[in-house]
Amino acid sequence: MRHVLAIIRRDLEEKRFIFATALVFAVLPFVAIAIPGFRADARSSVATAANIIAVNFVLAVAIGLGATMIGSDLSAGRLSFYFSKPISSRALWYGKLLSALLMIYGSLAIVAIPASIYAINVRGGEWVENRVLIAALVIIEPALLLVTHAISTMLRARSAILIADAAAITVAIGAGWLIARPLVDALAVRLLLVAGVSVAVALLISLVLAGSWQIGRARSDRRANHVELSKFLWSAVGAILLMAAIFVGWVVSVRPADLKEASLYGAPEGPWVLAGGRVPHRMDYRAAFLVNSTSGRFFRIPWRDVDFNAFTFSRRGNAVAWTHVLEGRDRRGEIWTNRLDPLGSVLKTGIVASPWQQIVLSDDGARLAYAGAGLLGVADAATGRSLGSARLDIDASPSDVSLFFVNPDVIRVYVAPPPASEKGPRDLIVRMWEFDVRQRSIRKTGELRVAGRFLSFGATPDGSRLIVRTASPANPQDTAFVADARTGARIATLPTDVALQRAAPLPDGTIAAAVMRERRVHFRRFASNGELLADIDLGPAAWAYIAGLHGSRLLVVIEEREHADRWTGWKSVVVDLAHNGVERAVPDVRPAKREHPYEDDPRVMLPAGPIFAALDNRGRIVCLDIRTGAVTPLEE
Amino acid sequence: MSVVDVRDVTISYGRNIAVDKVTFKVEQGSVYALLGRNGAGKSSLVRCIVGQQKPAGGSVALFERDAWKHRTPLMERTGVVAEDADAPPEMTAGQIERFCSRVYARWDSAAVYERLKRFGIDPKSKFGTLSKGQRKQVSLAMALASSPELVILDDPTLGLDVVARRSLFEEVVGELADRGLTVLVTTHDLAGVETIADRIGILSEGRLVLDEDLEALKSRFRRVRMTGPASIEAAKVRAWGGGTEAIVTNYDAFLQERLHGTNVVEVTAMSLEEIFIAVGGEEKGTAS
Repeated sequence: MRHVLAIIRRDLEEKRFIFATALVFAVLPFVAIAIPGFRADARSSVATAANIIAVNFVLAVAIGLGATMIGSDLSAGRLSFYFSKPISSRALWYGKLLSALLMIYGSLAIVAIPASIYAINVRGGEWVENRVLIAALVIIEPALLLVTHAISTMLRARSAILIADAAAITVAIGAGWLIARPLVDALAVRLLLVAGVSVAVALLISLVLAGSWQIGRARSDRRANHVELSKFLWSAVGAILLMAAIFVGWVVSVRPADLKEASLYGAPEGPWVLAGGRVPHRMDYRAAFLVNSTSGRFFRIPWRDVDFNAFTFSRRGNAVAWTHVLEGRDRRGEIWTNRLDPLGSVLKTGIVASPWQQIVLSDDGARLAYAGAGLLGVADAATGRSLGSARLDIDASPSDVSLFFVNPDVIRVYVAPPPASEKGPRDLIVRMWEFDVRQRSIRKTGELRVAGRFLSFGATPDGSRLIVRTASPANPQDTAFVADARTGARIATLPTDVALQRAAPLPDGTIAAAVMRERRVHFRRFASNGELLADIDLGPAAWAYIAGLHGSRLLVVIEEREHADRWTGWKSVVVDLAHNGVERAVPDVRPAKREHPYEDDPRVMLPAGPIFAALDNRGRIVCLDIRTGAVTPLEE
Repeated sequence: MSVVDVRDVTISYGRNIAVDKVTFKVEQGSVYALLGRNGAGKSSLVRCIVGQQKPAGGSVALFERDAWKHRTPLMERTGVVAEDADAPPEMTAGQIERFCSRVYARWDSAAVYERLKRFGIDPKSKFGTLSKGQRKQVSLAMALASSPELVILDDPTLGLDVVARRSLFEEVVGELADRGLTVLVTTHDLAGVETIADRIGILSEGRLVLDEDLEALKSRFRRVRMTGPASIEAAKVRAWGGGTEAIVTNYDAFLQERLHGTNVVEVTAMSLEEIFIAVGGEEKGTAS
């Protein structure tokens, strides 16, 4: 310690001009306010000037000291002055390092503190900015000092090892990016931040130890210093990257069964389901999988691709399409497809557009349609080959557009009104077009008009009718009604005295709905003309939705609550449509609600079952067989 | 006890071998002069001896401890005057003294100032503004102030004028007389070292070609001049006037007896410089 202090004292003595310069810079902002024009907001001017000076001066000090604290003595052959004395190499390195840090932080304090005190009571915001700036400088300075020292040692040696260093840096950056990429793809910002800070701290510690190692092993030999520094540093960087890779490997090694509170999105038919969500002990890392709920087979999809972007199954569940976010393309995406039956490999279609564009597959999964930015395109899903395109003469964002294949050659497009910002009712218009692939022509087929605050609609599975709901309608008759899906002509009005949690058109033309009334959920079935056919009380509930259909068995999921703010669980109720009664109730299981946040196909297509991917009360993925009520874990 | 024990030391820079398996010892209280031409490997060897450089092969021990591993404690017992004065140029002699006083367990400040005064150096003078000789003198003053048991002088008279050389060696001799110091000196000043060295080592092209007590060395080297061709075995023979001059390296009573009655006209003792030239390489000039 005595030797460390001796080194610090000597270095501070030698470089006391830095403190003198800092004093001059500390006074400068106060001199500046004497200049006409700065006086109007003197305190702010002082704070701003001090910020600018502090940043530039202290960065210059850190770079200067990093380049010279060992390097200049080394290249001038003066390190032997210390080594010919009973000073250990550690004492020399840490003495030099600590004196450099003292000079950096000392000069920062000298420049920043007077201006900060002067400005503190006048503009809180300015002071906060100062504090943030100073905190950033306090963290960045040691890093800059150490990095500059390493670079200085390497450059001063003037040896061919520099080429190896350059190669090592390139490899390290490349490896770092490859390691970080799965976390970037998963949009795991917090995890990336924590991992990044950990790696940065480890690198800083490595730089500190590398300096000690370098001086201890190479002592006064300039080239040997470079060799030893490079050996230690790149070994440490390699070890850190290896540990980071192991960590990231562990993070991404999750399997569908590891997901907690997963969101599920099942194909209308078939066993495939998109499962995604958080994983225990991995902060905000989220994983997504396409899972075959029958066989347990799965493959991974980058979370970034499914988080906010279009993702769609074909109606038969034999194909899937989504928008893969491209690197460095300013949030551009490429449509990827994958055959699921038989299982194929991912096809990159080469179709590049906004990730928010709408995409749908034809029912047989053979064709792909996409809409966005005023353009409608149709392509072969297996090859990506374009089959036709048309301009959509609309002024709507892609999220207001929905579309589906009426048949493999006709695509129907709906453009809904955007959500209103004002509270009162307004004219809400849904416009309808059809694009004919063979004729490559698009024409408007109809429109639907109501007055209200907000409008939502879903189409029947055959695409012939729309079930429309209007929030705060000017005319109560517009609350819920059935319309022609091609022309928008009104067909029937649905009862309005209850809140429709979800209305699902059934293959026989009737409409099933989970309806809330006096904190109880009712299953109701309507004829296509709105006539009530059945009303079954399913008990107290906070919320409910229809999750699937298998033959005459309809699956309704109910959220149970004892109180408004107290969640107690879920149960799945199997309604027997043939006898208008409840066949069975399965507690603690919640099948997927077939509603991707950015579903682009307006047809409400209930999953066909009989096996439904579901979550149990612990958020794990299970399979529910509604024929027997059996709940089994997902087998991988 | 050997204060310095150099065993099979090899020093290499890449493929270039600067010092090749050198072995010698410096006994306690003795003065060992290591001679060699520029590039012979003296300074590399000294760096290994003071623990600043790790040899590629072999070992160096000071006071029977490994010089590389135990450099820090060993430097408490060793005073070093480097070939190039290595103190920071912006430090004054006084600042250097204060710095050293903080890092040595034993330190005699008065001795430093007394020596600086004797050398005529102002303690307030910046090291970088001093002449080369004065820098060496400052370094020597510092090296001796910690009461070292071993002093290593790496070419201490390089660049010094005659007066400064004499002054420096007198300091060393004075200390030797006072405290029985062990001294390892590499030098070009053969005349200066001849008066104080007990033992001589000569490095030539990285190899130790001679390692011997100075008195024994001087007693066996003789210059023999003959009127005709050389009649004895000699290390070197050259023309001398109308006759021959030979350098013999095995002069002793027996040879002295044999020379009686031959064509030998003169047998003279050789100076250390003459011996160095004879051993270290005559053709390339004098030692430098």
